[in-house]
Formats: sequence, C-alpha cells, structure tokens
Amino acid sequence: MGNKLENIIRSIFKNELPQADNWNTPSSKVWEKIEHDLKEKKRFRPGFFWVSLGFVSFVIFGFLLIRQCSLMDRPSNRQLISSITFPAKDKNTVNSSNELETKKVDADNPIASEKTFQAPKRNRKQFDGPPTFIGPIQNSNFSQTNDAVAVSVQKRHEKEMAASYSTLSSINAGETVRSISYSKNNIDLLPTKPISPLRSADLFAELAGSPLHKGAGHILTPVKEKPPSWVIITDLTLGAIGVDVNFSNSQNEVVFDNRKTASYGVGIRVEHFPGNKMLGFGTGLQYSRVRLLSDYGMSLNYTSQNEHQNPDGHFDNVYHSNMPSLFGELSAELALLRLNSSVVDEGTPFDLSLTMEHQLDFLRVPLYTVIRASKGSFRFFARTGFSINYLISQPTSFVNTLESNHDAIHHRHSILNSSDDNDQGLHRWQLGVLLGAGLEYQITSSLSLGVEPYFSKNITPVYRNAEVSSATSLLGSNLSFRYNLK
Amino acid sequence: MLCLRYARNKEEAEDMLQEGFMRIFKDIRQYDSEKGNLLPWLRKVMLNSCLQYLRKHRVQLHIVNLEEDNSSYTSDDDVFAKMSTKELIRLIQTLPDGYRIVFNMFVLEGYKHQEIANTLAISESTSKSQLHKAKAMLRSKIRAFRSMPYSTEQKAI
Repeated sequence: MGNKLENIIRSIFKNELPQADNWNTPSSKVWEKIEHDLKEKKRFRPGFFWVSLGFVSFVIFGFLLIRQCSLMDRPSNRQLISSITFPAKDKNTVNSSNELETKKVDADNPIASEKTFQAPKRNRKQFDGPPTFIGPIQNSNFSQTNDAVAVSVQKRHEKEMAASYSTLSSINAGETVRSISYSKNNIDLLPTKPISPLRSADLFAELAGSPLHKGAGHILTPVKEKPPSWVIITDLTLGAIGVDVNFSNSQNEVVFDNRKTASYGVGIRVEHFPGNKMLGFGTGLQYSRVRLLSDYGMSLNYTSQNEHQNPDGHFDNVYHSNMPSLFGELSAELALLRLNSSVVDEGTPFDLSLTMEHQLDFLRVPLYTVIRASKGSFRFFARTGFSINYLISQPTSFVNTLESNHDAIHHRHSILNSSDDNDQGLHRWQLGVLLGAGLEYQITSSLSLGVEPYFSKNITPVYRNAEVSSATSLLGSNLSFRYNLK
Repeated sequence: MLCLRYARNKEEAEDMLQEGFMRIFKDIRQYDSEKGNLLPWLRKVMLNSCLQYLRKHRVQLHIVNLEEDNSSYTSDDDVFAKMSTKELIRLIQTLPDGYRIVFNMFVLEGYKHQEIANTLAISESTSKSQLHKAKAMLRSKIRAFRSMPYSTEQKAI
C-alpha cells in the first residue's frame, strides 16, 4: 500500500512541472543577494597575496641561510692547518713537561703569548675559556705522549672525539682524516672541525714541516666572543589583538563584544651593534594583518513605516541603521520579513544579533634599541622602541546572518555599506610602542633561531571622532631566523 | 522545487536556494564531466545545501507518535493522484522537519534507508519509522482537508 502512495507522488513530480508563479519563483531579492555575495568573493584581497609571498620568502630565506651557514662551517683541512702559523723555537718555547711553568710565563707576558699562536680566525671567535697550553707534537704518528700534545685527529666513522691530553688517537698512513680538534683531558679547547676528506699522508706531510712537530710549546690565549656587528632577521609573527573601543550611540542600545581576534604577519629587520657591543639598534619592514570578529546585539522597536507586502504575501521591512565599528558608524541595511500570518504591534521591541568582521592590513616600520647576550647556545635578547604603522586597507563585512529573537520577524538579508566612505576620521599613519624579549638558539656560528614574545600598542587610534575612540594593542610572538654578519 | 520540498515555507526555500547557488559557484571546479552529468551534480549540491541549512538551524528529527490508521488507503491514494505538484509540495511542507526530510530523500530523491541514515546520522530503523509516519501523516492531513467543506480536493472528487 505504501509503495502505491510513493509511486503516485513520484509520478506527479515526474510528469507535472508546476507553472511558474510567485509561489515557486524566487523573488528578485534572492538573485540580488547572490550577486552581492559573488561580488564580495570576487574582490581581490591583496593582503592574502602578500602574506603568502612573505611566508614563502621566509621559508626559502631560512632554508638558504641554513644551507649557506653549514657550507661555511666546513673549511678544508688544508686551510685550517695552513692558517695556523707557529714561530720558530725561541724564547716562547717552553718545557712541555712543565705546564704550570708555562702558564706562569704566559701570565707574565700575555701579549707576547697571544702572538705566538695565531689560531684560525673563525676558531679565535669560538674559543672562550681559560688560557690554555698547547704543547708540541712528539711523534709523527700522533701516538700517546706524556703531557705535551693537544692536536689530534679523528678517523673516519668515529663519532666521538677520542683525543685527550694524555691519550691520543693514532692515525696510520693511508687512513682518511675527517675532522680535527684541539683538546686536553677530554675538554675541547676548540670545537671539533669537520674537514674535507684528507689522506693521512697529506696531513703528516703538512704537520711534519711545521714547528708544531718540532716540539714548540705555545700558549693559546682565549678570545672573548663578541656580538656580531650586523644581524639580519626574518620574522614570522602570530598573535592576538586586543581592541579597546568606546562607542556611544544615541539611537539604539548597542552591545559591542569583541571575540576571535588574531594577527599574523611577516617581515625583515636589520640590527646593528656599533663596535660589536651588546647594545644596538634595529629597524625593518613588516606586513601584518589583524582580524577582529565583533558580535553586536541591538534592540530595535518594530515599525511598519517602511513595510511593504511582497508577492508572497509576507511583508518586507527594511531598516537602515548605523552600526558601530572600529571606523565609526557604518550604515547598514537590515532587511527583515514579517510573516503575513503574524501581527506585530507597532513599537514592539525585538533584539537582533549579528557578527561583523574587521580586517586591518598594516605596513609597520619598527625603530628600536636592542640588547643581547653573547654567550651560550641560548642567548637572551630584549628590545623596546617605536613603530610607525601605515594602514593599507580595512575591509569590513557581515560574516553571518542576522538573527532575531522574535518568532514573527525573520532575517532576509543584511548589507554593510563599504567602509571606504568612512575615510574621514581614519588615521592611516599611526604611531605605536613595542616591547619584546626572547631567546635565540645558535644553530651555527652565524645563524640562530629566535622566539620572542612581544607586546605592541598603537598610541594613535584607528579612528576617532566624537562618538568612537579605538586603539589596538597586540600581544604576540615572533619566530625568526637571525643571520649574524661580521 | 527541491528547496521548496525541504523547506517549511518559501522564505526558507529562498535561503536554501541562495546558499545552494553560492556553493555551486564555489565548488563548480570540482565538477568532473567524466564522472557524470551536470544536472545530477547540481541536484546533489543543492540537496546537500538544503540539509546543511536545516542542520545549521538545528532541525531535529522529531519522533511524533501518530495513531496507526488501519483503514483502507485506496481512497486516500486516489485523492493524492488528483493533486497538483503545488498542492503536494504545500502538503509536504506541513510535515515535521524529520518526516519531511526522510520522505523527500526516500520517495523523491531515491535514497535508500541506509544512505539516509548515514547522511543524517540516524539509525536505519529511525529512517524507516520516519518515512512510515510521514506517509501516515500525509494521509491523515489529506483526510482532514477533504472533510473540510468547500475544499478544493472535495470538489475534485
């Protein structure tokens, strides 16, 4: 029986197309709304393009930096060895069996001592420790010595540095040398340096002719590492924005509630430390986008003044209202519909709620002072200063449908007029202050990765007139690659 | 037509239509002509939009217990056969949301109960029960309508 009914209904819908009339034809407002929405979607958003471009640039730049730095940290063995020059056996030559005496000599004449050992330039920067005695090599095969050898070699595939003051790895002719280091009592005097594969015979030949082999003893004077003079920084910024908006509207009771705020951006900065000191200053260029969703609750009184009956028999009622926003009042068209079966008394209060999205695209030029530590793998830095901001664009739109709490009043559509008309009173140039502090991790000698929580606040409000005053503040975090120049 | 069948009134249908068109414009690149004709794809997108709209507006499947009517269906079915599409849609629109959705999907879109259950996140037996009750309610409504004096259906008979 049930199937018969189903078949009848199917056949009705299959065979009979209803005549087009007001009842089954969408009203013209539906098409207008679709056209409006499509225009919104088609609008080119340059911000997205720049954010994407910036992000891609950030990743590529970071990758290239890491690659470049890893290549620079791999000098050839020939360069490393050749760059160490030793004086002929003279007054600085000491008895290698008496280390204490050697240190005493060094203390008496530190300047002369420093000159006796000219470590490779790169190594000098990285050596940071007490004055240390480097003794002569006794044997050409690098076998164990008593207390005088501080040069060792590491054989291929050895992961750990085996050399120490009293026990040294030996290397046999024909073996391949992969790295070289300076150590004593299992404490590295200089970081192990990987080198290009070098036949041991070449290394022996090079060392055999050097004063080192002949038993000269030297004092290695530590060189304090200094901050680099210039630092290039690429930033990726994520954060949340706080907006302080004071709004008054004499016509309607309006409740303004900010939520779901977000900010993200990319940028490049440069910091300079005059005289390689710890204190420097920095500037740069950053692009950032701020998104702010605001909920509005409005209380209106029903009026039939603008009401007219549409072809459906229901009643359209269009309200023109000024909505509060960061840019002052924006005029909005709120189209409501009253069912013809319902009666709403004139002046009946009803509530409306809707959500508006503000998007602010900024170009920022920070000007700040910075202080940074120069020791350790993790290094602290802090900065404070000003930021000059330029507001590029500020699109604003409704992001969800307006809702009414009245059973007989329904939403039809809502349109927010473009904020371009509200340029008057808009502050495109804004001044802000910033404060940040973070840690950077040394990936290589010239590249580090930094994380920096920071706070910035615009002193200049986005918009100001008699009724609206708005200022933005931002709490966020920077993820940055920091490339240290000499 | 499709939106009208799923909506409670024309206003809802217009909203569904609008959202459906926006979705079509957005997803048109996903249409693959090698996988099927355009019209069924459009119907599917529009149907999904209708269901999403109903879900968004928190439409629940209402289980309404109706008294089973064991009288012969034959005369009722004859009345249905003489109804116009417009009258039928208006009648379907009066069904509770859950009944209306399942009835439309099963009878007019050709979905199986298993597919309906998966789409609406309900059990298969609930789908069957909703369909059964939807049909019972339609008959009940047509009978009540027919009993009214001067109704168009009575004149038709």
